[in-house]
Amino acid sequence: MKKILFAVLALMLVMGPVFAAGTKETAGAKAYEKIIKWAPIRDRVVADTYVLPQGAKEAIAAEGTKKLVIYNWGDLAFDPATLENGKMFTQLTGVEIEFVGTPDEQMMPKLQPLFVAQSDAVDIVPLDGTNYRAFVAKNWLMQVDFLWDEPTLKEYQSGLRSVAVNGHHYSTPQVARVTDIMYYRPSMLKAAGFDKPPATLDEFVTMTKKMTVDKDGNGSIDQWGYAYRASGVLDGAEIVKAISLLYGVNPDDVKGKVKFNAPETVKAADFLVKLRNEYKVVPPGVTAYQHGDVADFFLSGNVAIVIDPTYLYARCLESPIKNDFAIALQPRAREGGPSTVIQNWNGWAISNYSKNKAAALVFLDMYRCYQAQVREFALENNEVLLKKAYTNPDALKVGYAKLLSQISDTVINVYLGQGDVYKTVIAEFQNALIGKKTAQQAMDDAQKQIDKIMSY
Amino acid sequence: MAQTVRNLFLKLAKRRGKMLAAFVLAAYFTINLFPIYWIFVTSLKADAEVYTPQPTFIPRHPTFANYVSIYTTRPYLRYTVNTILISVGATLSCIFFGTIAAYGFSRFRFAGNRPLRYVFLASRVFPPISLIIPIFMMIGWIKLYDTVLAQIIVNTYMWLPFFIWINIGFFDAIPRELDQAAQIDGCSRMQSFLRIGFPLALPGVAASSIIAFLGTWNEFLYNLILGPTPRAKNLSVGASDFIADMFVSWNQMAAGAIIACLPAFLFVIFFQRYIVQGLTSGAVKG
Amino acid sequence: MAERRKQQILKDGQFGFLMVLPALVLLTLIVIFPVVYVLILSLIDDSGATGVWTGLANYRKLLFEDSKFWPYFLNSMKYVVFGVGSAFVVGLMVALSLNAIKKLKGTARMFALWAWAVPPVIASLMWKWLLNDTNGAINYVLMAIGLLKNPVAWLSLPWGTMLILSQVHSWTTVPFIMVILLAGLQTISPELYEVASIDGAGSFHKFRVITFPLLKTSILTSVMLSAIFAFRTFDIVFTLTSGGPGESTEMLVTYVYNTAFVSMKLGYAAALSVIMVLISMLMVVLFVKLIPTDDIS
Repeated sequence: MKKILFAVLALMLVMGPVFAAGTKETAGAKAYEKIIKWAPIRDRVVADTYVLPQGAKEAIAAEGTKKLVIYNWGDLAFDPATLENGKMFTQLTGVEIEFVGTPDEQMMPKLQPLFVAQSDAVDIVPLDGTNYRAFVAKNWLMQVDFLWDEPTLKEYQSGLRSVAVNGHHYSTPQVARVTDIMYYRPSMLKAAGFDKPPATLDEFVTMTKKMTVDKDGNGSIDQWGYAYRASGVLDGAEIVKAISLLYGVNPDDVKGKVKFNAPETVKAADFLVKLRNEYKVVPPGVTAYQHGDVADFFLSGNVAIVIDPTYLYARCLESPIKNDFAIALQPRAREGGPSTVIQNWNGWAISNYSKNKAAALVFLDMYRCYQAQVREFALENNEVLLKKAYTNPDALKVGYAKLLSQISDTVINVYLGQGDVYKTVIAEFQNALIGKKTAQQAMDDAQKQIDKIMSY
Repeated sequence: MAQTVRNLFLKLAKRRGKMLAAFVLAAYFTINLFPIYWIFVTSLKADAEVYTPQPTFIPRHPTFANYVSIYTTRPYLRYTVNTILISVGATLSCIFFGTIAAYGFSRFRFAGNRPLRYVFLASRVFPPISLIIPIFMMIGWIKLYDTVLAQIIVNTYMWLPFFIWINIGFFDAIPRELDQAAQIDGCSRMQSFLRIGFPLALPGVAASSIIAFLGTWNEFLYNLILGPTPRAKNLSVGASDFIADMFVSWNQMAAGAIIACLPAFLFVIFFQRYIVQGLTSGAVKG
Repeated sequence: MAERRKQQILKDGQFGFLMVLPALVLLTLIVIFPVVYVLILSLIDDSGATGVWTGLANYRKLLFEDSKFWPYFLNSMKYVVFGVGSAFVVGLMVALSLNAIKKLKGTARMFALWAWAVPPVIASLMWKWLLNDTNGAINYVLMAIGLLKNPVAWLSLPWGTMLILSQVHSWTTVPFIMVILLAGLQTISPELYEVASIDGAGSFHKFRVITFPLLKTSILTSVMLSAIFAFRTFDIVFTLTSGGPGESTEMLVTYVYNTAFVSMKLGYAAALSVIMVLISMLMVVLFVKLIPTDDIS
């Protein structure tokens, strides 16, 4: 009996702070606003060489910070830019960085206990659309309004503004990957009689039909015209959104609402379903493809065209097909139609429970500046939001820099519940793919659930 | 059909169907070990060979470069050491606490004997995923975050109830007369446990030790949450080092998998020899 | 022989309890706080920024208002039944075979346990690759030996994906079941068979009267524990299909994951975990009743 009583008491002690979740940050924030002289922000951001803001070293020393713990998407061996930027930070401030590389699916299970327990074991976290807003809503992130002002925001692409929550900033941008450029195999196009990649969706269908062949004559297809990812955490929803954008509608923002059953979006889902079930130009297994699956198939020579993020470019260069691949803008729905491209934003944010806030703020400040952003693009081929980064000579050397400069219309959407919404869309889209529902039914059903999710 | 299947089982049970047994094992190994073969073959492939339109089962230019690279680019040695420490530590704890408790449950009558067994089992039926937050908090309170010791404690918790449950069954199978005979000969109860009970239950102890060891070896979720850095990370979680943001480094991961299996084998080879017959039968006769 | 029973300070029953005590204390220390924490958390609604006490509302919603709960529960059961069922049949055959052979015992046992030694993360990813319809090895082999004409998208089947997943699970579970059964077989003394032969018993009789009854405890233990594990296994489903196609492979355990880490509703997830615990305990009770074993006590 006593044991139980004691446990309940201990629990209430713990749960108390969980209930009254962090209103602590306001006092701390003011201190960092004053101790470190952040202004003039814009000049520091675009300067060729980054310098620490005044007072930074003193503030860091005052907190006694020796090390920052920063979580990162994926293992650091695949992240040279992040490592380099980290080294630059350590050189400037003397603070060591311990990066903790974590694959996507493990990020939330790893971080959540830390935050729920209000642990100081992590200082900086990387966030994306699926969890950023939720972290903000639970008061887990430090507000960093003083790191931004209007002249500075102008130096970045407009998509950055959609990351602010009710006008407040909680992060600085790490990368903003462009997700849809078209990769193709010139030899396969040539073998089918084409010398240019498709420019419209109609051409796309014609060409992929011709490029879906049974090369060795054993009765089964061994080269597919196209393949996409309809599973995963984001992938399936993003492909629907991407095609919908070509038809002119952004389902994440239909007059301010999230709506996946607008006619154009249903048309997009239907188009994808037809690719699998009617035209049969994609493998039936698309329903389960996610992550790097489709890229792997492209590199293996099983697929003639894929539409994938820009990270694939570097992989192609180191693969067996390095001399037989090319890139182009994704096809438009029709000539002169929109060519909007999704950008996946990733940002750095500071834990409200960190004991090293001064150093963390400097890290955030540094990472959004010219030198660091150039590295992200030049070393890792991750698109960034800082416009000036693309004028750097190293940046210009990136193989697809020219193509990138032709992309003028991009969207970044980040909202609360996005993870849930995408999961619903993916499940219903898959139902349409396997023939359980029509595209219209599937998207309508998805929308019913989306309305519930967004109406808390 | 049913008759054939039944005969199959009977032949095997008869212990005279050695040919049949060999055939069954051959078929089983071919199918069951095919994925392992695939992993092994992949681990020997250079990057370029991993990406072929059709799967290849014999690498054209086999190389051990992956095995080297995983040690040079990742703290794989550290992971291996951690995993061995954690698994051995947890298994020993289970053997110590578990055999004593199982013997106590099996041999003695006391109030709550039966319900307590179920309570032990019940302590383990919570899906680990729902307990990670409070366990994380507790580990933090005793300042053992990111340590091998925390992993040993948690993994002992994971496997002790099953260890006990399995061994109760094996202790039950030992005839009471043996204990009584020993005690008549002057052994204390503890001695009777150590000299009669434990040795005769060795097949069960060995089997459950293998289970605890391998289970701990493969433990993923708790290590992920409680051991995020190479200080306490194990091979199971370390395997995900090869998962980059948008792709998987297949050949390196495959090499990692093969390395991860090896020490486990040594352990299994050592312990499986205790899963042998004859310890009980001798006693019944004599 | 002179039997001077040593002076016993403790009665038998107390001694027995004392033997159990260390394990009991250890487990209690570790488990009591988390269990109480989860129970209390399940009574809280934390969909907003702060938690609000809601009593049993989460349970009510899950069991009566949540359209996902029962279908996912059914999927979990399918996974457990097909996964453990096939693992048991195969495990029993392999255990009997390992018991029957004389040479290369150690090597054969090692091979039989290999599947279990592979880290689950890698095993799941490799299976995903093996099963895919574009360049997966399984389709390739099946086509090469003529069993298939065209590759099958094993993970995109409208109705059969759960079956496939359960067989992948079975692959990881056979060693576990086999090792317990093998140990159990060792405790059956060969004289029993010999005596029975002398008495003129037929093979079926021997299996039914000797092997099976003496193996019952091992069967119960291995199948029951296997079922409990299968019910909670997460990474196979998550890696291979993420619950798809549609929701046909969503299970209770993936539902807990999504509720906790995607929807971030920790209270609801806690209630779901508690329900899963109750289901597991129900499974234990069911198994113990179904396979009665005689205890010497």
